[in-house]
Amino acid sequence: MSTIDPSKPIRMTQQNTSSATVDPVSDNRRKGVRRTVTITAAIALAFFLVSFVQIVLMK
Amino acid sequence: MSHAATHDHHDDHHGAPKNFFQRWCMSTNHKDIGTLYLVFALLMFFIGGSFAMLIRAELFKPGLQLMQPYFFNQLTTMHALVMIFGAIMPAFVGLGNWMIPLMVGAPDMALPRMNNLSFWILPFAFTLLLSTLFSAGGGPAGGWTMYPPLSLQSDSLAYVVFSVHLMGISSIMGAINIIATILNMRAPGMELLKMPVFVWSWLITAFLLIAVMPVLAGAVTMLLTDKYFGTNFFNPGGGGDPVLYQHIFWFFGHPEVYIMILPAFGIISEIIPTFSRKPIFGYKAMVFAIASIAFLSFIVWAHHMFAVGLPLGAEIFFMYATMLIAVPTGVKVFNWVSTMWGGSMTFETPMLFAIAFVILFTIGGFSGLMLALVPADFQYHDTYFVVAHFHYVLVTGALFAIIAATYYWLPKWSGRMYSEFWGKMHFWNSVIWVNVLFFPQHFLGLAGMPRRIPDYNVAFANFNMVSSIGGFLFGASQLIFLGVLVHGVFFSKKKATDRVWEGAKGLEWTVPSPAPFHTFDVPPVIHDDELAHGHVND
Repeated sequence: MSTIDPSKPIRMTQQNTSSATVDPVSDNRRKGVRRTVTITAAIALAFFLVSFVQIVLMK
Repeated sequence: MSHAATHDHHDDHHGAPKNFFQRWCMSTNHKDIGTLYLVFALLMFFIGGSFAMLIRAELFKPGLQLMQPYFFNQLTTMHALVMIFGAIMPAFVGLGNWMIPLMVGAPDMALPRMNNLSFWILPFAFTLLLSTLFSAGGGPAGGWTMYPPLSLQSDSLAYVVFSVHLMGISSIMGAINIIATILNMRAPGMELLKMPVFVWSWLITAFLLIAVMPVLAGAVTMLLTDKYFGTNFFNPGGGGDPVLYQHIFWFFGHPEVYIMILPAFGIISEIIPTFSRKPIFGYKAMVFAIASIAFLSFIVWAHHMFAVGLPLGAEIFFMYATMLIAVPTGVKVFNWVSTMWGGSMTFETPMLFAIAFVILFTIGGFSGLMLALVPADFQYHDTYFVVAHFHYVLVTGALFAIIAATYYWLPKWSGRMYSEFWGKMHFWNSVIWVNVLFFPQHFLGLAGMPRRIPDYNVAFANFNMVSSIGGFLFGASQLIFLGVLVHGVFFSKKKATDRVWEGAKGLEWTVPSPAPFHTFDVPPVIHDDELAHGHVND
Protein backbone atom coordinates (compact mmCIF):
# COMPACT_ATOMS: atom_id res chain seq x y z
CA MET A 1 0.00 0.00 0.00
CA SER A 2 1.60 3.19 -1.09
CA THR A 3 1.27 6.42 0.86
CA ILE A 4 2.39 8.37 -2.20
CA ASP A 5 -0.27 10.14 -4.19
CA PRO A 6 0.89 10.02 -7.81
CA SER A 7 -1.15 13.10 -8.67
CA LYS A 8 0.98 15.30 -6.40
CA PRO A 9 4.24 16.63 -7.84
CA ILE A 10 6.87 15.14 -5.60
CA ARG A 11 10.52 14.46 -5.99
CA MET A 12 11.66 10.96 -6.79
CA THR A 13 11.41 9.01 -3.59
CA GLN A 14 10.88 5.64 -2.04
CA GLN A 15 7.38 4.71 -1.16
CA ASN A 16 6.72 4.51 2.54
CA THR A 17 4.70 1.72 4.01
CA SER A 18 4.56 -0.31 7.17
CA SER A 19 2.23 -2.99 5.91
CA ALA A 20 2.80 -5.99 3.73
CA THR A 21 2.66 -5.18 0.06
CA VAL A 22 1.72 -7.13 -3.00
CA ASP A 23 4.36 -6.73 -5.64
CA PRO A 24 2.65 -7.30 -8.98
CA VAL A 25 5.95 -7.72 -10.77
CA SER A 26 7.46 -10.24 -8.37
CA ASP A 27 6.29 -13.30 -10.33
CA ASN A 28 7.65 -11.90 -13.54
CA ARG A 29 10.89 -11.06 -11.79
CA ARG A 30 11.23 -14.57 -10.43
CA LYS A 31 10.69 -16.11 -13.84
CA GLY A 32 13.04 -13.59 -15.41
CA VAL A 33 15.79 -14.32 -12.89
CA ARG A 34 15.46 -18.07 -13.48
CA ARG A 35 15.61 -17.60 -17.23
CA THR A 36 18.62 -15.25 -16.97
CA VAL A 37 20.50 -17.63 -14.69
CA THR A 38 19.79 -20.59 -16.97
CA ILE A 39 21.02 -18.75 -20.06
CA THR A 40 24.10 -17.20 -18.47
CA ALA A 41 25.12 -20.45 -16.75
CA ALA A 42 24.74 -22.25 -20.08
CA ILE A 43 26.98 -19.66 -21.74
CA ALA A 44 29.60 -20.12 -19.02
CA LEU A 45 29.50 -23.91 -19.36
CA ALA A 46 29.69 -23.66 -23.14
CA PHE A 47 32.80 -21.48 -23.03
CA PHE A 48 34.44 -23.87 -20.54
CA LEU A 49 33.84 -26.81 -22.86
CA VAL A 50 34.80 -24.86 -25.98
CA SER A 51 38.23 -24.16 -24.48
CA PHE A 52 38.86 -27.93 -24.63
CA VAL A 53 37.31 -28.39 -28.07
CA GLN A 54 39.35 -25.51 -29.44
CA ILE A 55 42.63 -27.01 -28.35
CA VAL A 56 41.76 -30.37 -29.85
CA LEU A 57 40.83 -28.74 -33.16
CA MET A 58 43.96 -26.59 -33.23
CA LYS A 59 46.18 -29.63 -32.72
CA MET B 1 17.67 17.01 0.24
CA SER B 2 15.44 14.18 -0.80
CA HIS B 3 12.16 13.13 0.68
CA ALA B 4 13.26 9.54 0.68
CA ALA B 5 11.42 7.54 3.23
CA THR B 6 12.89 4.57 4.95
CA HIS B 7 11.54 1.83 7.07
CA ASP B 8 12.82 2.94 10.42
CA HIS B 9 10.02 1.30 12.35
CA HIS B 10 10.22 -1.66 10.00
CA ASP B 11 13.94 -1.97 10.60
CA ASP B 12 13.30 -2.73 14.26
CA HIS B 13 12.51 -6.26 13.32
CA HIS B 14 14.20 -6.52 9.93
CA GLY B 15 17.38 -4.56 10.52
CA ALA B 16 20.94 -5.76 10.52
CA PRO B 17 21.50 -8.82 12.73
CA LYS B 18 23.18 -7.91 16.02
CA ASN B 19 25.29 -11.03 16.10
CA PHE B 20 28.64 -10.48 14.36
CA PHE B 21 28.76 -13.96 12.79
CA GLN B 22 25.15 -13.72 11.63
CA ARG B 23 25.66 -10.29 10.16
CA TRP B 24 28.90 -10.76 8.29
CA CYS B 25 29.25 -14.49 7.60
CA MET B 26 25.61 -15.31 6.88
CA SER B 27 24.72 -12.04 5.22
CA THR B 28 22.44 -11.89 2.22
CA ASN B 29 22.29 -8.09 2.25
CA HIS B 30 23.87 -6.50 -0.80
CA LYS B 31 25.30 -3.60 1.21
CA ASP B 32 26.98 -5.83 3.79
CA ILE B 33 28.34 -8.15 1.12
CA GLY B 34 29.55 -5.11 -0.82
CA THR B 35 31.33 -3.93 2.32
CA LEU B 36 32.90 -7.37 2.76
CA TYR B 37 34.18 -7.31 -0.82
CA LEU B 38 35.62 -3.82 -0.38
CA VAL B 39 37.35 -4.62 2.92
CA PHE B 40 38.75 -7.82 1.41
CA ALA B 41 40.00 -5.91 -1.64
CA LEU B 42 41.67 -3.33 0.61
CA LEU B 43 43.43 -6.07 2.56
CA MET B 44 44.61 -7.71 -0.66
CA PHE B 45 45.69 -4.31 -1.99
CA PHE B 46 48.04 -3.89 0.94
CA ILE B 47 49.31 -7.49 0.73
CA GLY B 48 49.92 -7.16 -3.02
CA GLY B 49 51.40 -3.73 -2.38
CA SER B 50 53.85 -5.14 0.14
CA PHE B 51 55.05 -7.56 -2.56
CA ALA B 52 55.52 -4.57 -4.87
CA MET B 53 57.59 -2.78 -2.21
CA LEU B 54 59.86 -5.83 -1.92
CA ILE B 55 60.21 -5.97 -5.72
CA ARG B 56 61.16 -2.29 -5.90
CA ALA B 57 63.55 -2.68 -2.96
CA GLU B 58 65.34 -5.49 -4.77
CA LEU B 59 65.51 -3.37 -7.94
CA PHE B 60 66.73 -0.27 -6.10
CA LYS B 61 70.29 -1.06 -7.15
CA PRO B 62 71.89 -3.45 -9.66
CA GLY B 63 72.99 -6.76 -8.20
CA LEU B 64 71.15 -9.04 -5.81
CA GLN B 65 70.22 -7.10 -2.66
CA LEU B 66 67.65 -8.80 -0.52
CA MET B 67 66.52 -12.10 -2.00
CA GLN B 68 67.33 -15.01 -4.24
CA PRO B 69 66.08 -14.81 -7.85
CA TYR B 70 63.56 -17.62 -7.39
CA PHE B 71 61.86 -15.76 -4.54
CA PHE B 72 61.84 -12.59 -6.67
CA ASN B 73 59.99 -14.54 -9.36
CA GLN B 74 57.48 -15.71 -6.76
CA LEU B 75 56.93 -12.09 -5.71
CA THR B 76 56.24 -10.83 -9.22
CA THR B 77 53.85 -13.72 -9.83
CA MET B 78 52.00 -13.34 -6.54
CA HIS B 79 51.89 -9.53 -6.80
CA ALA B 80 50.01 -9.86 -10.10
CA LEU B 81 47.66 -12.63 -9.00
CA VAL B 82 46.80 -10.87 -5.73
CA MET B 83 46.30 -7.45 -7.30
CA ILE B 84 44.26 -8.68 -10.29
CA PHE B 85 42.08 -11.34 -8.69
CA GLY B 86 42.23 -10.20 -5.07
CA ALA B 87 42.22 -6.40 -5.17
CA ILE B 88 40.94 -4.86 -8.42
CA MET B 89 38.24 -7.38 -9.36
CA PRO B 90 36.73 -7.80 -5.86
CA ALA B 91 36.79 -4.01 -5.39
CA PHE B 92 34.67 -3.55 -8.52
CA VAL B 93 32.35 -6.38 -7.44
CA GLY B 94 32.03 -4.70 -4.05
CA LEU B 95 31.17 -1.37 -5.64
CA GLY B 96 28.69 -3.13 -7.91
CA ASN B 97 27.10 -4.94 -4.99
CA TRP B 98 26.69 -1.74 -3.02
CA MET B 99 25.57 0.54 -5.79
CA ILE B 100 23.77 -1.41 -8.54
CA PRO B 101 20.63 -2.22 -6.49
CA LEU B 102 20.57 1.36 -5.20
CA MET B 103 21.00 2.76 -8.70
CA VAL B 104 18.27 0.68 -10.33
CA GLY B 105 15.81 0.78 -7.43
CA ALA B 106 16.07 -2.92 -6.50
CA PRO B 107 15.66 -4.13 -2.91
CA ASP B 108 18.72 -6.40 -3.19
CA MET B 109 20.63 -8.52 -5.66
CA ALA B 110 18.55 -11.08 -7.53
CA LEU B 111 20.30 -14.03 -5.85
CA PRO B 112 21.32 -12.94 -2.35
CA ARG B 113 22.45 -16.34 -1.04
CA MET B 114 24.62 -16.93 -4.06
CA ASN B 115 26.00 -13.46 -3.47
CA ASN B 116 27.14 -14.56 -0.01
CA LEU B 117 28.74 -17.70 -1.44
CA SER B 118 30.49 -15.67 -4.18
CA PHE B 119 32.22 -13.59 -1.57
CA TRP B 120 33.07 -16.24 0.99
CA ILE B 121 34.82 -18.40 -1.58
CA LEU B 122 37.42 -15.68 -2.00
CA PRO B 123 39.10 -15.71 1.44
CA PHE B 124 39.61 -19.47 1.08
CA ALA B 125 40.98 -19.10 -2.46
CA PHE B 126 43.52 -16.50 -1.38
CA THR B 127 44.48 -18.29 1.82
CA LEU B 128 45.27 -21.27 -0.37
CA LEU B 129 47.21 -19.15 -2.86
CA LEU B 130 49.21 -17.19 -0.27
CA SER B 131 49.94 -20.32 1.78
CA THR B 132 52.11 -21.59 -1.06
CA LEU B 133 54.68 -18.93 -0.16
CA PHE B 134 55.30 -20.85 3.07
CA SER B 135 55.42 -24.30 1.48
CA ALA B 136 58.66 -26.19 0.94
CA GLY B 137 58.80 -25.60 -2.82
CA GLY B 138 57.70 -21.99 -2.56
CA GLY B 139 54.88 -20.25 -4.39
CA PRO B 140 54.20 -20.03 -8.11
CA ALA B 141 57.10 -18.36 -9.90
CA GLY B 142 56.26 -18.67 -13.59
CA GLY B 143 54.39 -15.36 -13.90
CA TRP B 144 50.66 -14.76 -13.51
CA THR B 145 50.18 -16.05 -17.07
CA MET B 146 51.35 -19.52 -15.94
CA TYR B 147 52.90 -20.34 -19.31
CA PRO B 148 53.94 -23.98 -19.70
CA PRO B 149 56.43 -25.57 -19.59
CA LEU B 150 57.82 -23.16 -16.95
CA SER B 151 54.73 -23.22 -14.74
CA LEU B 152 54.64 -27.04 -14.84
CA GLN B 153 57.95 -27.12 -12.97
CA SER B 154 56.38 -25.58 -9.89
CA ASP B 155 55.44 -27.80 -6.95
CA SER B 156 52.65 -25.42 -6.01
CA LEU B 157 50.85 -25.65 -9.36
CA ALA B 158 47.95 -27.69 -8.00
CA TYR B 159 47.31 -25.14 -5.22
CA VAL B 160 47.42 -22.26 -7.69
CA VAL B 161 45.12 -24.00 -10.16
CA PHE B 162 42.62 -24.82 -7.42
CA SER B 163 42.66 -21.26 -6.11
CA VAL B 164 42.20 -19.92 -9.67
CA HIS B 165 39.24 -22.28 -10.06
CA LEU B 166 37.74 -20.92 -6.85
CA MET B 167 38.27 -17.31 -7.96
CA GLY B 168 36.70 -18.14 -11.32
CA ILE B 169 33.64 -19.78 -9.72
CA SER B 170 33.25 -16.74 -7.48
CA SER B 171 33.52 -14.34 -10.43
CA ILE B 172 31.08 -16.30 -12.61
CA MET B 173 28.50 -16.47 -9.82
CA GLY B 174 28.96 -12.76 -9.15
CA ALA B 175 28.56 -11.98 -12.85
CA ILE B 176 25.39 -14.07 -13.19
CA ASN B 177 24.00 -12.32 -10.13
CA ILE B 178 24.71 -8.88 -11.54
CA ILE B 179 23.17 -9.71 -14.93
CA ALA B 180 20.08 -11.20 -13.29
CA THR B 181 19.74 -8.15 -11.04
CA ILE B 182 20.08 -5.57 -13.78
CA LEU B 183 17.83 -7.35 -16.26
CA ASN B 184 15.07 -8.31 -13.83
CA MET B 185 15.13 -6.18 -10.71
CA ARG B 186 14.96 -2.64 -12.05
CA ALA B 187 12.24 -0.42 -10.67
CA PRO B 188 9.34 0.21 -13.05
CA GLY B 189 10.29 3.13 -15.28
CA MET B 190 14.02 2.50 -14.98
CA GLU B 191 14.48 1.63 -18.63
CA LEU B 192 17.76 0.19 -19.86
CA LEU B 193 18.75 3.45 -21.55
CA LYS B 194 18.02 5.43 -18.40
CA MET B 195 20.37 3.39 -16.24
CA PRO B 196 23.52 5.03 -14.90
CA VAL B 197 26.61 4.38 -17.03
CA PHE B 198 28.17 2.53 -14.08
CA VAL B 199 25.32 -0.01 -14.22
CA TRP B 200 25.73 -0.36 -17.98
CA SER B 201 29.47 -0.84 -17.61
CA TRP B 202 28.89 -3.62 -15.06
CA LEU B 203 26.24 -5.33 -17.22
CA ILE B 204 28.67 -5.53 -20.11
CA THR B 205 31.57 -6.52 -17.85
CA ALA B 206 29.49 -9.33 -16.36
CA PHE B 207 28.92 -10.79 -19.83
CA LEU B 208 32.67 -10.64 -20.43
CA LEU B 209 33.22 -12.47 -17.16
CA ILE B 210 30.89 -15.36 -17.90
CA ALA B 211 32.46 -15.74 -21.34
CA VAL B 212 36.13 -15.74 -20.37
CA MET B 213 36.52 -17.00 -16.80
CA PRO B 214 35.48 -20.53 -17.89
CA VAL B 215 38.15 -20.40 -20.59
CA LEU B 216 40.80 -19.65 -17.95
CA ALA B 217 39.39 -22.51 -15.89
CA GLY B 218 39.74 -24.78 -18.92
CA ALA B 219 43.32 -23.67 -19.59
CA VAL B 220 44.52 -24.21 -16.02
CA THR B 221 42.68 -27.53 -15.83
CA MET B 222 44.71 -28.67 -18.83
CA LEU B 223 47.88 -27.50 -17.06
CA LEU B 224 46.89 -29.61 -14.10
CA THR B 225 46.23 -32.72 -16.17
CA ASP B 226 49.49 -32.19 -18.06
CA LYS B 227 51.42 -32.17 -14.80
CA TYR B 228 49.62 -34.85 -12.81
CA PHE B 229 47.58 -37.03 -15.18
CA GLY B 230 49.94 -37.65 -18.09
CA THR B 231 48.15 -35.59 -20.73
CA ASN B 232 50.11 -33.67 -23.35
CA PHE B 233 48.01 -30.65 -24.20
CA PHE B 234 51.03 -28.37 -24.02
CA ASN B 235 53.90 -30.84 -24.19
CA PRO B 236 55.56 -30.98 -27.62
CA GLY B 237 57.07 -34.34 -26.68
CA GLY B 238 53.57 -35.82 -26.63
CA GLY B 239 52.20 -33.93 -29.62
CA GLY B 240 51.05 -30.85 -27.72
CA ASP B 241 51.99 -27.23 -28.20
CA PRO B 242 52.83 -24.65 -25.51
CA VAL B 243 51.77 -21.83 -27.86
CA LEU B 244 48.22 -23.19 -27.77
CA TYR B 245 48.16 -22.45 -24.06
CA GLN B 246 49.06 -18.85 -24.85
CA HIS B 247 46.17 -18.59 -27.32
CA ILE B 248 43.71 -19.92 -24.77
CA PHE B 249 45.15 -17.89 -21.90
CA TRP B 250 45.01 -14.62 -23.80
CA PHE B 251 41.53 -15.34 -25.10
CA PHE B 252 40.75 -14.97 -21.39
CA GLY B 253 43.53 -12.52 -20.60
CA HIS B 254 42.70 -9.66 -22.90
CA PRO B 255 39.00 -9.43 -22.04
CA GLU B 256 40.21 -9.70 -18.43
CA VAL B 257 42.02 -6.39 -18.93
CA TYR B 258 38.68 -4.85 -19.94
CA ILE B 259 36.94 -6.52 -17.02
CA MET B 260 39.31 -4.43 -14.90
CA ILE B 261 38.74 -1.17 -16.79
CA LEU B 262 35.12 -1.05 -18.02
CA PRO B 263 33.63 -0.60 -14.50
CA ALA B 264 36.26 2.13 -14.04
CA PHE B 265 34.85 3.86 -17.13
CA GLY B 266 31.43 3.63 -15.52
CA ILE B 267 32.66 5.17 -12.26
CA ILE B 268 34.35 8.07 -14.03
CA SER B 269 31.17 8.61 -16.06
CA GLU B 270 29.28 9.07 -12.77
CA ILE B 271 31.79 11.34 -11.06
CA ILE B 272 32.64 13.82 -13.82
CA PRO B 273 29.00 14.89 -14.48
CA THR B 274 28.38 15.33 -10.73
CA PHE B 275 31.30 17.69 -10.21
CA SER B 276 30.82 19.41 -13.58
CA ARG B 277 27.13 19.92 -12.75
CA LYS B 278 26.18 18.82 -16.25
CA PRO B 279 24.66 15.65 -17.67
CA ILE B 280 27.22 13.42 -19.28
CA PHE B 281 27.97 14.34 -22.88
CA GLY B 282 26.78 11.64 -25.30
CA TYR B 283 25.18 9.13 -22.94
CA LYS B 284 24.27 6.67 -25.68
CA ALA B 285 27.69 6.99 -27.29
CA MET B 286 29.26 6.16 -23.91
CA VAL B 287 27.15 3.01 -23.60
CA PHE B 288 27.84 1.89 -27.16
CA ALA B 289 31.55 2.65 -26.75
CA ILE B 290 31.69 0.33 -23.74
CA ALA B 291 29.88 -2.38 -25.71
CA SER B 292 32.23 -1.88 -28.68
CA ILE B 293 35.31 -2.14 -26.50
CA ALA B 294 33.91 -5.33 -24.95
CA PHE B 295 33.27 -6.86 -28.38
CA LEU B 296 36.71 -5.89 -29.70
CA SER B 297 38.36 -7.37 -26.61
CA PHE B 298 37.51 -10.85 -27.95
CA ILE B 299 39.36 -10.43 -31.24
CA VAL B 300 42.69 -8.94 -30.18
CA TRP B 301 44.20 -11.57 -27.89
CA ALA B 302 47.19 -12.44 -30.05
CA HIS B 303 48.71 -8.97 -29.73
CA HIS B 304 50.23 -10.40 -26.54
CA MET B 305 51.96 -13.03 -28.67
CA PHE B 306 53.47 -11.20 -31.63
CA ALA B 307 56.91 -12.47 -30.70
CA VAL B 308 55.99 -16.19 -30.77
CA GLY B 309 56.07 -16.38 -34.55
CA LEU B 310 52.51 -15.91 -35.77
CA PRO B 311 51.74 -15.91 -39.51
CA LEU B 312 52.08 -12.44 -41.04
CA GLY B 313 48.37 -12.25 -41.87
CA ALA B 314 47.45 -12.98 -38.25
CA GLU B 315 49.87 -10.34 -37.00
CA ILE B 316 48.37 -7.73 -39.33
CA PHE B 317 44.80 -8.67 -38.34
CA PHE B 318 45.52 -8.49 -34.62
CA MET B 319 47.48 -5.27 -35.02
CA TYR B 320 44.64 -3.46 -36.80
CA ALA B 321 41.95 -4.93 -34.54
CA THR B 322 43.91 -3.70 -31.53
CA MET B 323 44.33 -0.23 -32.97
CA LEU B 324 40.58 -0.14 -33.62
CA ILE B 325 39.98 -0.15 -29.86
CA ALA B 326 41.38 3.38 -29.77
CA VAL B 327 38.21 4.58 -31.58
CA PRO B 328 35.58 3.81 -28.90
CA THR B 329 38.12 4.63 -26.19
CA GLY B 330 38.72 7.98 -27.86
CA VAL B 331 34.96 8.56 -27.91
CA LYS B 332 34.89 8.05 -24.16
CA VAL B 333 37.80 10.38 -23.44
CA PHE B 334 36.29 13.01 -25.76
CA ASN B 335 32.94 12.74 -23.99
CA TRP B 336 34.47 13.05 -20.52
CA VAL B 337 36.33 16.18 -21.61
CA SER B 338 33.19 17.53 -23.30
CA THR B 339 31.21 16.92 -20.12
CA MET B 340 33.67 19.06 -18.20
CA TRP B 341 33.75 21.70 -20.94
CA GLY B 342 31.68 24.69 -19.87
CA GLY B 343 30.65 22.95 -16.66
CA SER B 344 30.53 24.56 -13.26
CA MET B 345 33.38 22.44 -12.01
CA THR B 346 34.59 21.93 -8.46
CA PHE B 347 37.55 19.83 -7.48
CA GLU B 348 36.68 17.62 -4.54
CA THR B 349 38.84 14.52 -4.06
CA PRO B 350 36.72 12.15 -6.24
CA MET B 351 36.86 14.66 -9.10
CA LEU B 352 40.62 15.05 -8.74
CA PHE B 353 41.11 11.32 -9.02
CA ALA B 354 38.66 11.22 -11.97
CA ILE B 355 40.56 13.94 -13.86
CA ALA B 356 43.86 12.20 -13.11
CA PHE B 357 42.27 9.02 -14.45
CA VAL B 358 41.35 10.67 -17.75
CA ILE B 359 44.84 12.05 -18.29
CA LEU B 360 46.94 9.16 -17.01
CA PHE B 361 44.77 6.37 -18.41
CA THR B 362 45.11 8.05 -21.79
CA ILE B 363 48.90 7.85 -21.44
CA GLY B 364 48.48 4.12 -20.77
CA GLY B 365 46.24 3.90 -23.83
CA PHE B 366 48.79 5.58 -26.04
CA SER B 367 51.59 3.29 -24.93
CA GLY B 368 49.17 0.44 -25.66
CA LEU B 369 48.84 1.71 -29.22
CA MET B 370 52.64 1.69 -29.50
CA LEU B 371 52.66 -1.93 -28.32
CA ALA B 372 49.97 -2.82 -30.88
CA LEU B 373 52.38 -2.07 -33.73
CA VAL B 374 53.91 -5.40 -34.71
CA PRO B 375 57.36 -4.15 -35.75
CA ALA B 376 57.67 -1.94 -32.68
CA ASP B 377 56.39 -4.69 -30.38
CA PHE B 378 59.27 -6.90 -31.41
CA GLN B 379 61.49 -4.43 -29.55
CA TYR B 380 59.14 -3.61 -26.66
CA HIS B 381 58.01 -7.17 -25.97
CA ASP B 382 58.83 -8.40 -22.45
CA THR B 383 60.54 -5.14 -21.51
CA TYR B 384 59.76 -2.60 -18.80
CA PHE B 385 57.86 -0.60 -21.43
CA VAL B 386 55.11 -3.20 -21.12
CA VAL B 387 55.30 -2.96 -17.32
CA ALA B 388 54.94 0.83 -17.52
CA HIS B 389 52.03 0.51 -19.98
CA PHE B 390 49.88 -1.86 -17.98
CA HIS B 391 50.58 -0.10 -14.69
CA TYR B 392 49.37 3.18 -16.19
CA VAL B 393 46.22 1.33 -17.25
CA LEU B 394 45.69 -0.60 -14.04
CA VAL B 395 47.03 1.73 -11.33
CA THR B 396 46.26 5.21 -12.64
CA GLY B 397 43.31 3.68 -14.48
CA ALA B 398 41.49 0.97 -12.54
CA LEU B 399 42.90 1.71 -9.07
CA PHE B 400 42.43 5.48 -9.31
CA ALA B 401 38.81 4.88 -10.38
CA ILE B 402 38.25 2.59 -7.39
CA ILE B 403 39.75 5.22 -5.07
CA ALA B 404 37.63 7.94 -6.72
CA ALA B 405 34.52 5.78 -6.27
CA THR B 406 35.37 5.18 -2.63
CA TYR B 407 35.63 8.91 -1.89
CA TYR B 408 32.50 9.55 -3.96
CA TRP B 409 30.23 7.01 -2.32
CA LEU B 410 31.82 6.69 1.15
CA PRO B 411 29.53 9.39 2.64
CA LYS B 412 26.52 7.44 1.34
CA TRP B 413 27.84 4.25 2.91
CA SER B 414 28.98 5.60 6.27
CA GLY B 415 26.80 8.68 6.71
CA ARG B 416 29.91 10.75 7.49
CA MET B 417 32.04 13.02 5.34
CA TYR B 418 35.69 12.09 5.00
CA SER B 419 38.39 14.72 5.55
CA GLU B 420 38.66 16.68 2.30
CA PHE B 421 42.08 18.01 3.30
CA TRP B 422 43.53 14.55 3.84
CA GLY B 423 41.74 13.26 0.75
CA LYS B 424 43.53 15.89 -1.29
CA MET B 425 46.82 15.10 0.45
CA HIS B 426 46.28 11.50 -0.57
CA PHE B 427 45.52 12.57 -4.14
CA TRP B 428 48.52 14.83 -4.67
CA ASN B 429 50.94 12.37 -3.10
CA SER B 430 49.51 9.53 -5.15
CA VAL B 431 49.48 11.37 -8.46
CA ILE B 432 53.02 12.68 -8.09
CA TRP B 433 54.66 9.52 -6.83
CA VAL B 434 52.82 7.15 -9.17
CA ASN B 435 54.36 9.05 -12.10
CA VAL B 436 57.79 9.01 -10.49
CA LEU B 437 57.27 5.27 -10.05
CA PHE B 438 56.05 4.28 -13.51
CA PHE B 439 57.08 6.94 -16.01
CA PRO B 440 60.83 6.11 -15.92
CA GLN B 441 59.92 2.50 -16.65
CA HIS B 442 59.01 3.59 -20.20
CA PHE B 443 62.61 4.71 -20.69
CA LEU B 444 63.98 1.53 -19.10
CA GLY B 445 61.90 -0.56 -21.48
CA LEU B 446 62.85 1.41 -24.56
CA ALA B 447 66.49 1.02 -23.53
CA GLY B 448 66.01 -2.74 -23.39
CA MET B 449 65.61 -3.69 -19.73
CA PRO B 450 63.69 -6.98 -19.58
CA ARG B 451 60.83 -7.47 -17.13
CA ARG B 452 60.74 -10.15 -14.41
CA ILE B 453 64.46 -9.99 -13.54
CA PRO B 454 65.97 -9.32 -10.08
CA ASP B 455 69.25 -7.97 -11.41
CA TYR B 456 70.11 -5.71 -14.34
CA ASN B 457 72.82 -3.91 -16.25
CA VAL B 458 74.32 -0.89 -14.45
CA ALA B 459 73.20 1.26 -17.39
CA PHE B 460 69.66 1.00 -15.98
CA ALA B 461 70.64 1.96 -12.41
CA ASN B 462 69.50 5.59 -12.23
CA PHE B 463 66.00 5.17 -13.61
CA ASN B 464 65.49 2.11 -11.42
CA MET B 465 66.49 4.06 -8.32
CA VAL B 466 64.09 6.88 -9.24
CA SER B 467 61.34 4.34 -9.89
CA SER B 468 61.93 2.63 -6.54
CA ILE B 469 61.84 5.93 -4.64
CA GLY B 470 58.55 6.74 -6.38
CA GLY B 471 57.32 3.27 -5.47
CA PHE B 472 58.11 3.58 -1.77
CA LEU B 473 56.46 7.01 -1.56
CA PHE B 474 53.42 5.90 -3.58
CA GLY B 475 53.09 2.95 -1.22
CA ALA B 476 53.40 5.21 1.83
CA SER B 477 50.76 7.55 0.34
CA GLN B 478 48.23 4.75 0.50
CA LEU B 479 48.56 4.76 4.29
CA ILE B 480 46.96 8.23 4.10
CA PHE B 481 44.06 6.59 2.24
CA LEU B 482 43.73 4.02 5.01
CA GLY B 483 43.71 6.80 7.60
CA VAL B 484 41.09 8.80 5.70
CA LEU B 485 38.90 5.71 5.39
CA VAL B 486 39.10 4.80 9.09
CA HIS B 487 38.42 8.40 10.10
CA GLY B 488 35.63 8.80 7.53
CA VAL B 489 33.84 5.63 8.56
CA PHE B 490 34.22 5.71 12.36
CA PHE B 491 35.32 9.09 13.70
CA SER B 492 34.31 11.96 11.42
CA LYS B 493 31.97 14.42 13.12
CA LYS B 494 30.70 15.85 9.86
CA LYS B 495 27.45 14.17 8.87
CA ALA B 496 26.71 13.55 5.22
CA THR B 497 23.49 14.83 3.69
CA ASP B 498 21.32 12.48 1.65
CA ARG B 499 22.41 13.92 -1.68
CA VAL B 500 26.01 14.41 -0.43
CA TRP B 501 27.21 16.24 -3.58
CA GLU B 502 25.42 19.28 -4.96
CA GLY B 503 25.41 18.00 -8.54
CA ALA B 504 24.61 14.36 -7.76
CA LYS B 505 21.63 12.86 -9.55
CA GLY B 506 20.15 9.38 -9.47
CA LEU B 507 18.19 7.00 -7.27
CA GLU B 508 21.10 6.22 -4.96
CA TRP B 509 21.10 9.80 -3.68
CA THR B 510 17.44 9.70 -2.67
CA VAL B 511 18.04 7.31 0.20
CA PRO B 512 19.36 8.62 3.51
CA SER B 513 23.05 8.68 4.42
CA PRO B 514 24.09 6.18 5.64
CA ALA B 515 21.96 4.05 3.37
CA PRO B 516 19.51 2.07 5.54
CA PHE B 517 19.93 -1.68 5.84
CA HIS B 518 16.91 -2.19 3.56
CA THR B 519 16.13 0.14 0.69
CA PHE B 520 13.54 0.03 -2.07
CA ASP B 521 11.53 -2.78 -0.44
CA VAL B 522 8.77 -1.14 -2.42
CA PRO B 523 9.79 -0.01 -5.90
CA PRO B 524 10.53 3.70 -6.03
CA VAL B 525 8.56 6.15 -8.12
CA ILE B 526 10.84 7.19 -10.93
CA HIS B 527 10.91 10.83 -12.05
CA ASP B 528 13.05 11.39 -15.11
CA ASP B 529 14.13 14.83 -13.87
CA GLU B 530 15.85 13.22 -10.92
CA LEU B 531 17.75 10.66 -12.94
CA ALA B 532 21.15 11.51 -14.35
CA HIS B 533 20.03 10.18 -17.75
CA GLY B 534 16.25 10.47 -17.47
CA HIS B 535 15.75 12.42 -20.65
CA VAL B 536 18.16 10.58 -22.88
CA ASN B 537 15.41 9.63 -25.37
CA ASP B 538 13.86 13.09 -25.56
